[in-house]
Amino acid sequence: MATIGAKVSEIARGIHQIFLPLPMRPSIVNVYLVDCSGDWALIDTGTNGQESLSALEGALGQLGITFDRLGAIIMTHHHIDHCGASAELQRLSGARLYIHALELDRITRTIAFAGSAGPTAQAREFFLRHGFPVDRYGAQALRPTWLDPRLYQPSVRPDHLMADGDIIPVGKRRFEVIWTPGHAPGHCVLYLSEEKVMIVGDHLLPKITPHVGLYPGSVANPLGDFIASLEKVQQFDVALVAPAHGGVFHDHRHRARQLIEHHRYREAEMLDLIRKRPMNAYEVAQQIFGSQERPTFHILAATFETLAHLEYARLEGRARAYERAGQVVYQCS
Amino acid sequence: MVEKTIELIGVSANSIEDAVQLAISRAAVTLNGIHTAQIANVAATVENSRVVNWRVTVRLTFIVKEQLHE
Ligand SMILES: [Zn+2]
Repeated sequence: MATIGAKVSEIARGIHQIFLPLPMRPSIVNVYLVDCSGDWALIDTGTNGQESLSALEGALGQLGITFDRLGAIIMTHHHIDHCGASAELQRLSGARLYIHALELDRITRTIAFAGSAGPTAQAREFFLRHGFPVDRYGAQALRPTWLDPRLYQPSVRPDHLMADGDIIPVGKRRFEVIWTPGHAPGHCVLYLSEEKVMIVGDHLLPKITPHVGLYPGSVANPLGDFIASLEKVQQFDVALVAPAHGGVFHDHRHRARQLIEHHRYREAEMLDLIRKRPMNAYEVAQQIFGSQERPTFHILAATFETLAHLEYARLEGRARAYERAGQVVYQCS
Repeated sequence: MVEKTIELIGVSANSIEDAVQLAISRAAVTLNGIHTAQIANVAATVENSRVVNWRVTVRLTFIVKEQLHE
């Protein structure tokens, strides 16, 4: 494997941020290699693409180690850029694999979706009920182009299923698991209390607002979970935040509050629309995110992020929903 | 002390007040300490002889605080 182009930066003593290429936007995912004195830990894996695996191998080379030094691979959640290469890395390294129990089911579903010809009958019905005109866009267009089964090869046999509050010992370090559902139902951040470093996956990104959507098979209130997880991480004492996209930053509480404010604003915008007249999630999304030409997958994501907002508002009594001609419409009075 | 002013247009389907509040809520995502909203202009978008949106131009004023960098 070619090992050129690996980018490594030591963000805290023995904690290295590795930039791995992605076939989409954002175009880079950061994974973290942590020297635990003896054993090493890898947080997130990148995709299973050749370019990404070579970059990771190059990074290990720069640090003077090989795959077999990895003792643990811990994944923050099931998405392609976070666990796409876990089967291959498990094979190459023999490391113990950790992921939250709720992400295993999402892995199975994502593998099935990546290899399918289109949405299931159940998913189609769900889309139509929320006003998303699935037939106008075509089944193939619903799948993002980067969800390539070759790039998504996660292991379906992790060694440990993580739960909130678990401590994962690796060498001399102790990774505390903090369950932060929202972006994914079993999303976890990893906290090193002695070092005051928090490796946050996609929970707290410095520039981007993480996508939180309500899809077929989702939990009832993913956005409510996300907001609660943003409150939760503020209880920890953190000096350095290590995100999966973008640079490291310091003030995790400031960023968490900002994301909460952003969602409050978005909800206010949506409630303003459905105060005037009842609308389904697709109609609201067209107004909020715009109806310009863009990849179908983005329109889908906007619709189901909007649905997450509308359901959050409904469950908290700020909006109500009812059936109209086979569709669910939301109203705020 | 120095204060700063930014100009935004809040758009509401319902009312002028709602349009002002939306502009303030959006600004508050990135700004702290907004204390005044001055209404600079009010316009309505009209379609088929009906008001569909209130567009309110607001000047928001906030205090510029010194940032502590640890
Ligand atoms: Zn993700």
